[in-house]
Amino acid sequence: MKPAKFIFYIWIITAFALLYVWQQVELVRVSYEIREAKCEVAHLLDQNGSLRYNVASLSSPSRLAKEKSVRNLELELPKSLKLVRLIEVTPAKTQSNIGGPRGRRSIFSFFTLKSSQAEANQIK
Amino acid sequence: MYKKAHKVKSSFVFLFLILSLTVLCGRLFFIQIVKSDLYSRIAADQHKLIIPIEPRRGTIYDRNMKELVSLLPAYSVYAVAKELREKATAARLLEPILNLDKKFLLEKLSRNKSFVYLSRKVHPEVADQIKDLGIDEIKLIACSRRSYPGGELASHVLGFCDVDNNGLEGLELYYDDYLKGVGGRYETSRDGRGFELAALEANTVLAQDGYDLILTVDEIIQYMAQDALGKAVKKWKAKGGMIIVMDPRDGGILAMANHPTFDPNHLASFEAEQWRNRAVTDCFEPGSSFKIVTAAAALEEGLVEVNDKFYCEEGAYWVGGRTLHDYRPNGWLTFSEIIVKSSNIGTVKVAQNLGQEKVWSFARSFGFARLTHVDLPGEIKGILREPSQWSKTSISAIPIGQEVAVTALQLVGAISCIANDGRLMKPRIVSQIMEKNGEVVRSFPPKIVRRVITKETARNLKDILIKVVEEGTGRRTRIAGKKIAGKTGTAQKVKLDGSGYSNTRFVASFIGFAPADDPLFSMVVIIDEPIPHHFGGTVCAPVFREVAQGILRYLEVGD
Repeated sequence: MKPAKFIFYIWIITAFALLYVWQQVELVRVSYEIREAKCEVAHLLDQNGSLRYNVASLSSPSRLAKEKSVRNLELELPKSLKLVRLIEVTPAKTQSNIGGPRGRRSIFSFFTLKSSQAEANQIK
Repeated sequence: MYKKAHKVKSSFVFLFLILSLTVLCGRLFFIQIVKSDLYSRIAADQHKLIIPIEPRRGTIYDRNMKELVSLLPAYSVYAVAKELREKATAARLLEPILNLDKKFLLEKLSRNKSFVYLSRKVHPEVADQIKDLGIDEIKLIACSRRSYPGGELASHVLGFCDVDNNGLEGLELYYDDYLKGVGGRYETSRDGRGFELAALEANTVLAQDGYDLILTVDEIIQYMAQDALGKAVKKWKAKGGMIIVMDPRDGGILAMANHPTFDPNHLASFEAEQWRNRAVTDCFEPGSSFKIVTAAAALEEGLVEVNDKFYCEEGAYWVGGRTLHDYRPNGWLTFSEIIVKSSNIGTVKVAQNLGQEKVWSFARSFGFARLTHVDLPGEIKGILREPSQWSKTSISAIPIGQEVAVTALQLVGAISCIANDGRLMKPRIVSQIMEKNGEVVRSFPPKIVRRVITKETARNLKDILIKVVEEGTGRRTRIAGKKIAGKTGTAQKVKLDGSGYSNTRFVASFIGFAPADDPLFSMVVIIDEPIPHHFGGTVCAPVFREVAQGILRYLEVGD
């Protein structure tokens, strides 16, 4: 075998070996990333559960009644009622987004701090 | 000479290499071929992992999608006891964090085991404190625990779970198969440091999370009922009490309150006796509340008109070998007045005309002595003997609610039947079972069990029950501007030795619905052994009024 050919084969084998090693290293690295992402998802789900529990707990009637008595609040229903219920609306459905020109929307959306807005929907 | 020596040396080296290679090849053959299975298994044990995927238990919501039961993150603490050296120090450090006795901890840590649970389902803050200790042999397992944000609110309905999140009581038990979900698993490998190589995940079977329950219960109405019941039980120094609020149009239970109550978040602090949902598991003699059955039967059979008159014997009537008394003596009363004034004698006279078969069959039609098949565990059907087993006193007892035992749920079902123009509805507490993505898996639409009385009879009976509230025994229920219909009940309890009825222990009750013309809800209020007063009209009617007033205001706002 000619030395040039030999070196070429060695080079090819080495390249494949390195490729294999790189692939294995990447596999481990990506695995770690997936593991971290899974932990993050689990943590966020737990956090979501805790926050929902807090909302339910803080707005429970027994807690509100206790707060009312502790703060000595004198609450009574008004004679005529007018309820305003807040409904969360996604940006895509808001009037400005539907009607506004595309370019202007993108510039303004760049400066918008909130991704969604709350609209007051008068019920009564 | 030199060449010969060199040749010998070369031969030795060559021989050595050949021998070494032979040994190595032999060893390789032994490992790869002879012991192939063993080493493959050891390698697989070291690298391969089968990881179970825990399903998330379903949530329970009220009718307005308010969360009544949640799933919170928690940790279980365990020790690799046989590898722990400083056992006494570890016990001393863990004692204040886990709030456990030092001796108890030391006993657990002294075991010669690789896995010893120290505490289950601790809060994440506690877990953080344990991590901060830096003891390698004390480890944590992430898990979840059921939490009840309302505390005692609807605790008897919701029930509770064991430490492994398996339902043990209430809806948690009844719908455990739906709530718990199905576990999954996946296979993967781990690296030399024991970390999972997620990219090599294979043969994945996804976990199916538990379904969510949507109840017919309204959190606000439940609170109103529970609060009023608690105050009444305290005021009347009673043994206990129950309130059920039902939507008579669809049989949906809006509230079910029991007292004494318990907080499922702190289960160990309460007696097991307090966990029981007495509204479905206990029965009692209803007393005069049961007169609605006799009245309905008499009207339905066309035996009486509302203005037919009966002589009420001036308060004492010899019947079936005993003297029956009215609380206040009455002379001639119309059928309507008999119910309004809750005359025992008048009711028994009506029942005598009706006959025991009719009384029994109407009681059965109203759902007494039958299971309602409500979706709660432990329901009993109560007691109502067949006419063939009645004694000679039964006809003077059963029509006025003695010698018969009913559950609070049956009683609210019966009054709802009258409110619903004579149609008996199946009580239900779960309206839908949903997937996490909101897709309905199963729904429980309103179900008519049977028509018990005609619309005409129901209307006549409603008018009588309105009079009970406006001018009869239920006057304390009156709400200005609202029409309420109802019936009071006061029943003596059987003496503990079984020798007749007690004169000191009573069960007071009130059943009714509002608004009487177009009922939005029906309600039963039961107070067990109130002191010093014991009449349903005195003890239970004000509770009904308080809750009804709150509900009417709340439903008006809600509309």
